Amino acid sequence: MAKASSLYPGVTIETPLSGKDPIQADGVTITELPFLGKVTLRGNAADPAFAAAVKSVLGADLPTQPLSSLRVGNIRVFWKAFDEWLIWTNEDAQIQLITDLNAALSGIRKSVVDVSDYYTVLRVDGARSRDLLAKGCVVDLHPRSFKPGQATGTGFHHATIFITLADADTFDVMIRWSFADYLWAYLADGAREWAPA
Amino acid sequence: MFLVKCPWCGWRDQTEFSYGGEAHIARPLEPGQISDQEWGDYIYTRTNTKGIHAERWVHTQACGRWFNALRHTVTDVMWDSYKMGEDAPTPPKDWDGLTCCDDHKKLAEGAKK
Ligand SMILES: [Zn+2]
Ligand SMILES: [Zn+2]
Repeated sequence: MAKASSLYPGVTIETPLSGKDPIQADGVTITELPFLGKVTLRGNAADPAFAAAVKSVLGADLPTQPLSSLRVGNIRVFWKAFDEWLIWTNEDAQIQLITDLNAALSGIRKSVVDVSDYYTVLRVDGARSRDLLAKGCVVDLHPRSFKPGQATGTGFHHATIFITLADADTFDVMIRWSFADYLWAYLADGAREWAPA
Repeated sequence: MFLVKCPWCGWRDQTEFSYGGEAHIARPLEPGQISDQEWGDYIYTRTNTKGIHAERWVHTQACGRWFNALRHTVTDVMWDSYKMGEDAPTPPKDWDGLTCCDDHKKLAEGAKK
């Protein structure tokens, strides 16, 4: 849904999926998690000064295992590459986070970029979430190989996505703003075989 | 299509990656000092290997990092990959070019049954 900006009085904000109703099918639901804060952090995790500075802000060590992630309060931190992380926050909370990271990392090689409006996030939830996502995703999402908390970039048919298993059957899929409608339409079409009669 | 092993993310579908051509081709340090023939060799001449080929890949859709890998050009089976700056691994002399790691050996044996 479009809504009033909390940062700019009188400004209405929306995402590429604003106005779309959630997709409901038997065993799978697709909704948007709009307006999440998203930050790309880069730096050398092997540099103790970098690691300590980031920890002083996040309250936890950065995940250094490939495909891993962690949660601290309302913040989710994803390993993206050996020197790159993706951070999700509540709406607008990324602004303070970026300020804090830049302050703590002053004089240390790093990159902190607000990418909140470059992407949006879809939530694919339910016992059939894997069946639906398998229609376009090349990563094996079977529970034996993709566990809660795991996260990775990958392809979804013609789109590039970032996918994480938030909980048992709950996937969160980050997609570029301009590809969001494509992914939404693809998932809506894919869920039709389980649509209520 | 085949599987590519990212040194960080593991074995993944080839469509997540982009190919970067033959590996270990050093750019001449003084391009102005070499002949057109030598520059042409640097730009165009490749080993065109039939068999095990060292080549560059980038994990475009995931970690976005470049690495090197050994692929059998007849079977398209990748033996292994290695990080930039590391030495290439050595497949056994009698490698059939069909099976790579133990995981895939098991899969291949399972498929035969
Ligand atoms: Zn990778
Ligand atoms: Zn293998």
